[in-house]
Amino acid sequence: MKRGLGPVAILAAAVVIAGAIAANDLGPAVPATSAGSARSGDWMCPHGGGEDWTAYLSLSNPGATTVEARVTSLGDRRPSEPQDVSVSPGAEVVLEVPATEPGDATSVEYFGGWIGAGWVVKAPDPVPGLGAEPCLAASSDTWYTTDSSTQRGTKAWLVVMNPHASLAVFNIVLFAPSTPPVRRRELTDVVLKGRRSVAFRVDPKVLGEDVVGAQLDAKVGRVAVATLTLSEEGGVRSTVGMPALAGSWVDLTAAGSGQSTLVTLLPGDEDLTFTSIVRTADQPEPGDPAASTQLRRSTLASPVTTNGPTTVVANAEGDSTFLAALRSEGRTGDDAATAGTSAPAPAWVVPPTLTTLPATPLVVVANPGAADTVVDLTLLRIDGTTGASTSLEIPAGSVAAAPASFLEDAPRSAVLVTADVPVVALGASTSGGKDGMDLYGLATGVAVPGWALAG
Amino acid sequence: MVLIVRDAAAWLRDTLQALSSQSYPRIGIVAIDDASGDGSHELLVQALGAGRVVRNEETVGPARSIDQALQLPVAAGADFLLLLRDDVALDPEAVERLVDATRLPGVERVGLVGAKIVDWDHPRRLRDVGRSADRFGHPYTPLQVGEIDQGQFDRVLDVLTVDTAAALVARDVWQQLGLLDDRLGDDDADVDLGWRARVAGWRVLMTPLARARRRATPDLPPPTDRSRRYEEDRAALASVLKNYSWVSLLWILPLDAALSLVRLLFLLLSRRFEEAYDLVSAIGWNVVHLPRTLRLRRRVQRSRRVKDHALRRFHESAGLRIPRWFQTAERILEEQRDLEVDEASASARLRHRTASLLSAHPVLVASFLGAVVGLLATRHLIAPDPLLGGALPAFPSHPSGFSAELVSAYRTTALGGSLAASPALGALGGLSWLTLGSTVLAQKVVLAGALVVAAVLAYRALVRLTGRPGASVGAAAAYVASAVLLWAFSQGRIGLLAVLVVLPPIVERLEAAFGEEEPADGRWRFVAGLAVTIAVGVAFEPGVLLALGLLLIVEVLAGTSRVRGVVLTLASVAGAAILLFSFLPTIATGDGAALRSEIGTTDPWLLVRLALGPAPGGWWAALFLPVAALLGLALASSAHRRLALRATMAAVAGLAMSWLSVAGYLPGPFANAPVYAAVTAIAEAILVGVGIASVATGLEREAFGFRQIGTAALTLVLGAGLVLQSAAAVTGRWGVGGADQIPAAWALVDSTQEGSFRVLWLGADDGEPFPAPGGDPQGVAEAGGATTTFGITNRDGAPALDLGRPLVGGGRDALETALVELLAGTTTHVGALLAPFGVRYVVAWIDQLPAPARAALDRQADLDHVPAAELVIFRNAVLLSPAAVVEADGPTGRIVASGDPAVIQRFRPVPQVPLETVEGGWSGATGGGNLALVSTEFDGAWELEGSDAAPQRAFGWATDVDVAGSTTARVLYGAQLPRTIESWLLLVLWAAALWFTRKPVRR
Repeated sequence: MKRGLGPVAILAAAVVIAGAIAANDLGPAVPATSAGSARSGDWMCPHGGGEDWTAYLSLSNPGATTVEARVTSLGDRRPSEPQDVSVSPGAEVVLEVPATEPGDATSVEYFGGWIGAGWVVKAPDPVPGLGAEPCLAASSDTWYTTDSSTQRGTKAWLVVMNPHASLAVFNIVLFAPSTPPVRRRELTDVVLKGRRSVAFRVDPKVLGEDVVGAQLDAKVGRVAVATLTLSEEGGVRSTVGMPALAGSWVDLTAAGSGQSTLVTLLPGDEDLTFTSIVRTADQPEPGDPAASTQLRRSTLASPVTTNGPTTVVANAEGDSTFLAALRSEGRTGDDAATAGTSAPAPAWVVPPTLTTLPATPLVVVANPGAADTVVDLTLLRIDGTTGASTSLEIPAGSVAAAPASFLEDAPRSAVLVTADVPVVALGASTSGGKDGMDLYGLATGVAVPGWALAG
Repeated sequence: MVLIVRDAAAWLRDTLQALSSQSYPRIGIVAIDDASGDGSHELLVQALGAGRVVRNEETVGPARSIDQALQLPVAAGADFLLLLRDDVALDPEAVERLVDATRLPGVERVGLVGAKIVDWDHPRRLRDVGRSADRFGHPYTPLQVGEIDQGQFDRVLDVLTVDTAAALVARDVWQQLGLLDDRLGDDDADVDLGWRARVAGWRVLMTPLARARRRATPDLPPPTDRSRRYEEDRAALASVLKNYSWVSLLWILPLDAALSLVRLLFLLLSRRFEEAYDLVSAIGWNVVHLPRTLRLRRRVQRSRRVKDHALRRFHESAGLRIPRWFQTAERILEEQRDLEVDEASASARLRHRTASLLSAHPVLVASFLGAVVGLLATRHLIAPDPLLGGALPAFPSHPSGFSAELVSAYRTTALGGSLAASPALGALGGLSWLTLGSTVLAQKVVLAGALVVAAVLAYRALVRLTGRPGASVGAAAAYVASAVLLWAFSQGRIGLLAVLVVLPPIVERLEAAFGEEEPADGRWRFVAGLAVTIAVGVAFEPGVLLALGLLLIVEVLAGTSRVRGVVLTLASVAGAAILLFSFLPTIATGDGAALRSEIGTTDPWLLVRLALGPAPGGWWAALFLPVAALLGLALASSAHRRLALRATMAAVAGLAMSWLSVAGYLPGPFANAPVYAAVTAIAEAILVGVGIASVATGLEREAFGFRQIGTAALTLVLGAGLVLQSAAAVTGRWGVGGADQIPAAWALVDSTQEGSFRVLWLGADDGEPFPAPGGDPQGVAEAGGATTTFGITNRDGAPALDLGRPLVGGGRDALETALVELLAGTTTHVGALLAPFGVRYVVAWIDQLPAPARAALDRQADLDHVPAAELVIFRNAVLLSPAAVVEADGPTGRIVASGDPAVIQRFRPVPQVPLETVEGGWSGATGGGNLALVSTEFDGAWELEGSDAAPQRAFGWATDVDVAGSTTARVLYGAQLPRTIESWLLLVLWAAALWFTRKPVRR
């Protein structure tokens, strides 16, 4: 019998199988990470406007390098020529931007670092009011809003801006408690050219509702959305849209009359139960959670009594998701509202929420986490001088406001808020009039990415 | 009777004696002595008298000699003319029987009657019983070589023609049609004469009652130095031109041309240049002699009484040539013929016992089966449209596109630069010209031909290694049916297919170099041959060097004559380097990026069966090859032990290297999973061949045991594997095919209005190619979990012009930097960063792009998402044509002058006028712009025609020229001459190398 290589064959098979098993366990090499050097970003500010309205854009730079910004005004006409702006480190730039139509918006591109951005719009007499919100950091193909009102004497718009070069095609569905979702032909397959911004009146389409929500789905392109509400009794409110629903929202308020409303939207197909926990600076211990039932495909208004700086944390049961914003009554005729956040962060820039003096600006910080923290606040001044700083000790789950003196010297300054745990920051102010109480503005800050402060 | 004699003294007496004993009484003999010098003339005069012998002073050939005889009154007045050669001896009643055949009852218009020709010395061996021809005029005889006369043809046969060595011709025939065409050889002129007679309505008969003995081979020098095939080809075409009607020619000639083209390609690919030259010469001869052919044609057609279709029964079918081709292929695979002699005794009993066609003609049977399976498997690819899909590169619309790129001093693809194109473009261009100038056809010929050539070369290599044709056929079939080869075909991977083609001869040559004996063909020829083989492989896929290196290491570790082997191998590599001298910088640039491939699979279980991607034949049945290889290894006899061990080492190492390549553990230039998998495939095929060869003989004399069981298992595994793989190939869906192989969403990009732009392709770093027509990844942008592969093409997709040429250089580095900026998530203006590259679209598979990368794209302010099924498509809002004149103000000018991404990201759309591509560069109107921006790597050789403006570096890597004040801009490359000289030198080198290593022609 000839001698073969049977043992070698068995050995070879064993080597291959063992190698395959080892390779399976080892897996591919982990690719290296890379850091980019070209810092840039965008802010989309669908602030809207009206005849004789004024709008101001706040650009604030919490970083260590000068940031160049390119500001372009959008409307239903050709965009304006870009305006180049430099924002020095630790400084704020406030620009007046066109706001003569409800659909007006402003696009901000920035290079070389990071800046925060927010807007304030102010309506003149006979219905004075002020709306303030942070700008939106990204466009999206889906948006949700929940703060519109369509009661008598109220005009409500959805401001939709398309900051990109290509057109967008989208549908808008309106939600209200007493009516099925409203899908109107004029809100279906809406085509919005690139670099344009328009506003859609909501109140003629859903009459007599205190809380009207909206869902926008873009089939083509991406847009940015905010609400703009003008009422005889409540002045001006602005709230930015949210690109996604969440199971938990943190909303803050301060400086109002003490009467607020948690307005929620559930565009989904199943009813939702959520709890809201209210904490104030005076009463850091939470009261009993208030359970609410949010009907599917509708909105809900849940009154909240507040006392000074207040945080409302709304949590959905189960895995459900929804949208919550907080609407607060001012001490005079101007209400305010702001969309909350579902993502607390360790650093925020709070834009100013006023345009005129006298004013009482406030910065409110909530610590929704389980650990106490110390929060540092630094002014980002318009004149570029080194801003004042202060610190706040905020127990877990509590909320606190910066001392009134902190913003006294520079009430239109933005504020950098940093903490070692995730927090949420809010700007709130009353301003105007003889006592500085006529106008009321609320605006949640914008979270600062970690790299923006490192550089 | 006309007797044609030339130097026939040795047998002429017998011929004359046979004539003298004829029973037919009325024979007048005229003998033509065609300038004999051996005493034949004297014999003729002695036998016939001087008056009946005409002597030519110089040799004129049978045709003219007969014509001379016809001038004589005694011949001109005869009713019948009996043509007879000096080497034919008629039986006594032969003439009488021939004449009788003209008077058969019911048989009219008999124009030509031939005798049954048998061998002079062995009268039972048939030499001729009448002949026919195929549709293309090639003669055909029903006789097998040495066929014994058993009465099987003993009836009067109606044939196309007869052997005019002993044939009776009616007077009307020669007067109407003439006799033999003096331009053609003997046998070919016979076919032509018979065909003409048939066209004119004459019958051509062979009567077995008239028998003539003919000598086997005249001891005469060949009439020309041309091959027999040349004579046959030129005569066949001449006969076709003369004897077919115009209507028939309308389809016969194109078909004949197509078949000739296929044959020519085959001859060229197998380096049988002299045979290819003969074929071309045969066609050329007909072109040169066309006027006379047409004159003869008029004579034939004037006398036409029968339509072509009525003569079909005298023509063999076109399929007749298929066995001839196989026979030719078998002749070319000459090793088998030689080796079969050795094997004959050993396997004689088996053959005789089983009468197995497979064992007798394994190549023929395998070729036939392979052709059938191949035709069935590729039936969907047979269409006039170009092939699309997979990773198949786009061929230029015209063959000149290949040569233009090969000769061009600058790269017209990707991001420009001065890297030379692969010499493979010369081959593809030449092939495209041969395929009637159709690059579409050339594309298909390359793909299908690669499979055939891979099979042939694998067989040749294996038969040299194992010495067993049958075993080699099985192993070669296993190689072709391997998952990696089917995948390469399915994906249209021309480069990898080239690797799979050249690897078998490389392995065999290395075995010879490191073997115990000196290479049989001498060291110089060996080195030249291996150098050409390596150069061909490297030209198509530089990564073949990695395979060579791996095999070299195996041979150094386990070979016999290491020093000689290393010397010969290195000399061959040096020779290949000379043949690729202009391409060497392309291979070396970018740290050997040309050697690298991003393709493959990290799934080791898929890799074991060599399934690198989805394709017919990548399923579990592909395990047949590794399993059969293991069985082959186990069965290897002592004679093949060392070969088997080396093959095992190569196979295992190939698998390991392949996985390490894709998994990212090998340094850049050493990572090429497909090439290593190809090494494993040929190594496993060798093991299969070794196994079969080891059990081919003597198994029946051994006691029953493992070898019998192992043999059965190997047979079962191999047989089942081949059947299943064939079934998969026949029923599967190839990656290449028609337009349906391109994702439908690609139309959104492809339908963009005319204009030049580039497409950036992105994908996960998982070894998968981009969606067609994106081709393979050209680089990796590492960014942690967002890491993606990338490639950049024009709107037509990956071009064949970039075969073997990687994306390297300043442009590539800048592109990778821009992508890292994108993936790192710190910029939202990557559209501006991509504008300098002329990128208008970013495209990826919708389910392949890593989520962080997709999120980064979504964040970009200047990339607009285009909704599409299957694909992720983003349109760049910051459009910049790859070549344009722009209006650049101060800020824009500063951005263009910068290479910093932080600055470039501020680039905004500017008014621009695209420039058109022209020979040597770009040209067009400036449209009021002041800066010509060309998205090609900066090179000081670029110049603005008619201007002294020097080119500047744009965006850190591209080129711009100040065109302010000009109405037109013509940006041209000014350093073409060196590359032109290089190209000519390259052509000379390849011609010399191919001539030196050509296969000798058989005359």
